[in-house]
Parts: sequence; C-alpha cells; structure tokens
Amino acid sequence: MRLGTGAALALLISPLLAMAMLSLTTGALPLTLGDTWSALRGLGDPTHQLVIWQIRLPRSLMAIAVGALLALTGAILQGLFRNPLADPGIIGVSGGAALGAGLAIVLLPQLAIPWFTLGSTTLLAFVGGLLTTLLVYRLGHTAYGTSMAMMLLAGVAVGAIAFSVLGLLNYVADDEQLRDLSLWQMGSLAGASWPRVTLSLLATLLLWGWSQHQARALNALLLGESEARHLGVAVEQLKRRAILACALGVGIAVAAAGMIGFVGLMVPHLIRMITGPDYRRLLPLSALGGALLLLLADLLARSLVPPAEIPVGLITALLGAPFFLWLLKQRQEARG
Amino acid sequence: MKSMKSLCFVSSALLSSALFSPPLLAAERIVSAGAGISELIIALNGSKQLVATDSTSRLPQGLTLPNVGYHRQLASEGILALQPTVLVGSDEMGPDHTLQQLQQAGVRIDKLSSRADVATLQQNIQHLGTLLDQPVAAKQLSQQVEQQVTALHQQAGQLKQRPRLLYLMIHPGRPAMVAGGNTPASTLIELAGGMNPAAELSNYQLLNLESLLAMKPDALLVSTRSLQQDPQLLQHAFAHIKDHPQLQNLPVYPVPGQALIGGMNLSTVNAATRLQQVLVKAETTAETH
Repeated sequence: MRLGTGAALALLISPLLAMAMLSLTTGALPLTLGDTWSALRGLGDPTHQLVIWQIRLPRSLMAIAVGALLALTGAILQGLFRNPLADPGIIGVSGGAALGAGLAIVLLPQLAIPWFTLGSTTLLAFVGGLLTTLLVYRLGHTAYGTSMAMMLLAGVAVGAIAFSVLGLLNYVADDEQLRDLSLWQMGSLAGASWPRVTLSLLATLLLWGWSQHQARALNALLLGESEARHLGVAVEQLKRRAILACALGVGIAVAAAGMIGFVGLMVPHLIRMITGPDYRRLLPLSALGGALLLLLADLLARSLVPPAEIPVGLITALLGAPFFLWLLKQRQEARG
Repeated sequence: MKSMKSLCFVSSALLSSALFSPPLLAAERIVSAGAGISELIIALNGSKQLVATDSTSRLPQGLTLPNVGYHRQLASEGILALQPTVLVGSDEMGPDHTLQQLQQAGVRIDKLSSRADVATLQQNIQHLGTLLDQPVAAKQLSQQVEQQVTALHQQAGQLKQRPRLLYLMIHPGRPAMVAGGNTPASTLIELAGGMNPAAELSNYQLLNLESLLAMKPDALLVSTRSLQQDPQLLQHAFAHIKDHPQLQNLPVYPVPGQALIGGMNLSTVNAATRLQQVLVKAETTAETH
C-alpha cells in the first residue's frame, strides 16, 4: 500500500489542519467555532481570548513542533544507526535530559534565573541532554572514525549511569519533588508558553531544512558506510553533524515538554510502511505524522478528565504502542 | 457569557443568603486545592461557595464536585471553565505558569501555609473565615480547636511516661518509610502525648528492621486503610520480624490517612484525641496487669 508523495502529503496535511482546528475549539471551557474565531482576532470575552491565545494556541503549536522534532530525529537516527530500534534515547539525550531536570528539581528548587523565563529545569534538561550526547559521541569515536556500534553501546551504558544517578536523586527527594520528577518524566505540553513555542518551532524548521538538504546522503548511508563513501558522501562529517543536529533537536523538545516516548520510534516506521524508505519523502512526512500524533494525544490528554489533565507521554504510549503492534502484524500477514 | 456569570453570581448569592444570610458580596466561587483546606471550608459552612476540589480532598456524603487533579499539576483551562473567583491551596500548589495564567484571567490566588503545627491551623481557620465571610463560624471553630488542644495537653500530662511512637507508611511490595519530625504524623504523635523517636529525620525516610529496633518504639502507627488491606502488613514489610518477640507483640494502632496529608488539619486534631484515648487505656491496662 505505497503511496506517492503528493497523495501522502495530502493524506497528512488535511488531517493535521483539521486536528489543529479541533485542538483550538476543544477544551474544558466550551467555546463555539464563532467564539474561537473572534477570540483569535482579539475580540469578545477576555477570558476566551486568554484561553485561546495563552493556552490553546501555544499548546497546539508546541504539540506540532515537538511531535515533528521527535519524529524527524527518530527518522534520522534510525538511518544513521541502520537500526530500527533507534530513537532519541539511543544517543543518550533522554537519560541526560532526565538527569538534568532531576538535578534542577531536587537540588536547585529555589534557583530562579531572572532573565531566563523558561526555568532552571528546562535549561538543565537541555544542557544535560547535550552533554551526554557529546560524551556518547566521544566514546564512539575511534582512530578509524565514528563507530556506530560503539556509540550504540556507549549510549546504553551512559543512559544507565544517568538513570542510576536519577535513582539516587529519587532517593533523596522529598514527597513533592518525587512527584514532580515522575510527572516530568511522563511529559506534558501544559507548560507551553510563547518563548518555548518560538524556540521549538524554530528548531523544527532548521532541523527539517538541514535534513532535507542531506536526504540524498542519508539515502546513500542506508546502503552502508563504505558504499556511501564510494558514492561521494562525506560520511564522517555527515554523522557528526547529524548527531549534533539530533541532540539539539531532541534537547529542545525534551526541555520544552519533558519525556514523550514512542513518537520518535514509531512515526518514521509508520511512514516507511506507507511510502517506503526514501529520505526525501520520509523526512517531511515523518514531521507531519509526528505533529499529528502529538496533537491528537494532547487533545485527549486535556479533554478526557476535565478539569484535570493526563500527562501526554502516557497517552502517546497507550495510543501508539498497540496501533504500532497491530500495523506490524498486518504487514506480516500481508507478506504471508 | 457576562449575563451567565452574573446570573450564577446572583443565584448563588440568593441561595447562600437564604441559608446563612451573609452579606451579598460574600459569594465567592472557590476552587480548593488541598485536603485540609477543603475540610476547613466545609467546616466553616463554605461548601455552597466551593466549585471544585483537588484529588486529595475528601467530601462529605451527598456533596460531589469536579476534581481538578493533583494540586501540583493544576490545569489552567480546566479551572477557568469553572469560573472561579479564587483558588485556595497550600504553598505547594502549582505549577507557577498555571497560577500566572489564572491570575491574568482575574482569578485570585490564595496560598496558605502547609506547616504542620497548631498555630498554622489557627491562622488558616481565621484566613478562610474572612474569605468565606463566616467570622462567627471561624471563631467557634478556632475555639473548638483550642479547647481540643488544651484538653490534649492536660491529658498528656497525666500519662506516666510519654510512649515512643513511630508512624510507618507501608505500601505493599515497597520498603516501609517512617515519618520524620516535620510531618503531620509527628505533630499528631506529639499532640496525643507521645514522642516520635524519628523526629530528627525530615519528611518520610526508608526504614529497615535494624533501625526500627534501635528506635525502641512502644507502639507503631499505620494508616487505617493499609491495615484494613493487609492485617499482616508489618510481617510483610519486615522479614524476620517474628525473630524479634518484642517487635512482634508491639501494639499497632490505625490512624486515618486523611489526618496525615496536606499539612496540619482538623482530622489531625481529631485523630490525636482518639489516639490519646487509646494510649491512656493501654497504660491503665498495663498497670492492672
């Protein structure tokens, strides 16, 4: 059931627009389409304007940006490692970011940096994610270039170290901090504010632009490193830049929304099943698919149990994993 | 929407004036994010002004209200949809951006201290009495708490010795934790006339059998619910407890969990009174033997 690029784009863009509309009009506060439209234009009830401009719009845009970022990095890393299980966790970003956030929550609860409106948890999560990735990259770097197998193992080991230190933080944390830690690890888009939205949208556009530019090289890499080299790809340089780009992208996504699993692993696989492995199509379609999935998950997260909310990371896993299994099974049966 | 708001305002004002006849302006629409705070609001005749509570609050039978979730993970839109005038909670409620958004929408944020002592409880009663415009009820409740605490102190003086009591938080399959000095459990022990040998610890800390032995408790306290779920919970939490006869025969007293969450509250004082009766009775029985 492979589709052409145009058909696949249409298949994803129209539901994304519909989902964005639905996301803007749905919520605990009942707003009609008319209410939403006038609030968007800055007219009508000030409470409606606040809900649309400060809550729903930044949140929907952040779901789009973070979903796209996670799916894009997943797609790039799966090609780079030539491993279908690769997701942002594999280069140590998730572990490092979780550790950074844990340090901020448990050890620096009072630290407020006046000019930095995003908060110390966000900053340390980003720094932690970036530092662990650099460490993993260093460990994977040998005299003969970057060994992806070594990086994979180093990523697992560094992740284990990060999570054991996080365990230690769990142990010393008091009840409130413990609860904050576990909630942060479940991910949420509730913290969407305009600075975060701007940052993550910008990161999404840059990562997409860069990776689209490298799509042919990434395709060549699928054949194997030496084959790619023979085809004229600067393999070392590509790997280094791709890892740095992914670390920055995931770092921003995780810092903005906490840990949201399954999007990065699953969406690129789904897209490959639909349109095949060509990166020129895989990248934009993964970005759209990730945005769509996270937008839907966030819509459910904030409208299932009003006036409370469910962490969105729980929904992506609950929603995504069974669907993914079903699709795998379908494909297996189709092959016979 | 405006007319809707004022309609709600007028109707709730009419309703409360019919029941308690406070001045018309007093009708607040309150979201309460804290078990002890909801309990106080209800005790101060404020349940008519309550529009929602958090997941830790317990409501009296017959009263059902929307649940805004965990008090550190409040969602701004869900709360805004209830059109509250004020959000009352402990100093631990959050996250901050939700509180800021609510404030922008004109909802007042009222943070009360969650310190576990009687003075804080009295302050909170006064504060809520003013908010609910129930000065008489607040004064009565405050006096009632004071009398109860005075009685507790007097009775405690009559105990021959202050029993060493440990509160253990035991969840099945997880190691037991002991309540340190700054917890409501510790305040409850002190109020009842006992002493907490783990008072130098802060919050809840992991406890093994050896440390438990070293603290030489005279009795153990556990939550009523966990004792109901598993009457053998001590044996399950501490392997080899049967090798220590002094621990195996230790009395275990249940304490309602409601008395121990979200700082000092009315349930804490009531539970202390009941615990003291048990302690006095235990001492008399021991003497007659």
